[in-house]
Amino acid sequence: MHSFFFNYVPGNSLIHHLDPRTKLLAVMVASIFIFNAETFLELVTIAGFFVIIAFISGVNYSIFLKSLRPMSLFFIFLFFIQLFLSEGKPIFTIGFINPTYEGLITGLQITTRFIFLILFASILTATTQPVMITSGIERLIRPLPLKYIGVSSFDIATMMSLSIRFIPLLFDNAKKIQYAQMSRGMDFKNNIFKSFSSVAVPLIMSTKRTAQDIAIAMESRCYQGIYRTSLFELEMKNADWIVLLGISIMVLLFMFLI
Amino acid sequence: MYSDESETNIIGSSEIKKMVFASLFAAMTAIGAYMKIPIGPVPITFQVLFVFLAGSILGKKWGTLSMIVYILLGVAGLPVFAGGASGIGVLFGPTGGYIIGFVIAAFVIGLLTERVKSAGLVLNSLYMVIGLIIIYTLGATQLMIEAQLEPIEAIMSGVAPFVIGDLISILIATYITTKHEL
Repeated sequence: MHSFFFNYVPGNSLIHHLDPRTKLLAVMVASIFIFNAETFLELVTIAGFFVIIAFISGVNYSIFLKSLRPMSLFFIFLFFIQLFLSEGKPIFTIGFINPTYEGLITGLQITTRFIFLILFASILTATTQPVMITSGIERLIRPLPLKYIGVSSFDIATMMSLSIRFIPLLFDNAKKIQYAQMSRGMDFKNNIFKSFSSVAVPLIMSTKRTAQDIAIAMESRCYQGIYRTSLFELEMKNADWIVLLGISIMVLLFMFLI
Repeated sequence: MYSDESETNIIGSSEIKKMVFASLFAAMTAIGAYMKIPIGPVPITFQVLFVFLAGSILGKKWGTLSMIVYILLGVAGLPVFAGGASGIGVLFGPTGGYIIGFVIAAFVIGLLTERVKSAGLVLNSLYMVIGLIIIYTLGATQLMIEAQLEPIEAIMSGVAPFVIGDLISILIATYITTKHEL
């Protein structure tokens, strides 16, 4: 029902079968590389890697492009700010407007960098179910000294699962309340503020009740933030170690070459 | 697996309630990105409202955690960041500073609210303003560095358009915090 909310595309590729931890680490390393990419050659190499990995994952390219849509206006905005506001050799001048070559280059550089940051992250989310990513994050943050804050990594994983469940619930409740108010004669088009509060107040009250019920349910089942077995147990396979080894070699090469 | 360490942080009953509400606030911050009132050139969104509420209602520990969970939801691929974006990439990108600012703002607001028992409207709104300044500072700084903008440009594009909407959020958040308790 809320498939629009998840970017996961089922598949059977090598990338799909990698452990979420491997993929999370790989995306982080890739983000650092992209972050530091300056020259045209580096950006082209990154683009090459993306095309290869996306091909192996077997996910349609349009899925990845879709992940760019929410940010597209912002890319354009950033690009034009650089183009028109940078100082340097002007391409042409009409009144106040003078785009510069320097601006064109930095603008392209910044926007491509940002586009690839999002594209690489979308490979992770397109090939891994949110539940698996949650388990992966839980396992990765387990060694952190979270007990000083007074929580465990399992608490955080539980909170993530709860939130993932809450989001569609809130959407459904908001829709229901909206229809209920409409059937009572609420005009949502012309009365923005009143309609907003007419949905918000019942929504908050009903959600508060649900949250309290969940807390009582957890308490009566003796929830304690300690180790729990999961429906999706993670397992590092040979392929994961090979990928991690490959990433480490690349990082080392990069550090010593530059 | 039931080691001594993990037994020391068994969560108490009032803590469970706060934990569930922290998850709820993470979910609401996510939905806040979709709740828009289309007035003026930049639509007013309600993300920061829930950041303020998380800090002031849940306190520093659970308020901060709820924002961390919100970020992790985005990392896990749910389109919870502004405009429906997701992924680690957004955090490293030019707009990532605002999202990191949410965590610190919730922490600071929680810290300040816990210091004074039952603060009034004025004090509460002051805390929220401090939180908003933190979000703006971090957000504009990262925008400035990553998009290679001048400070003025960063403020004009990354702070000025949102001020009015966010001040409205502060009003609502102050009202709710002063009138209601968890």
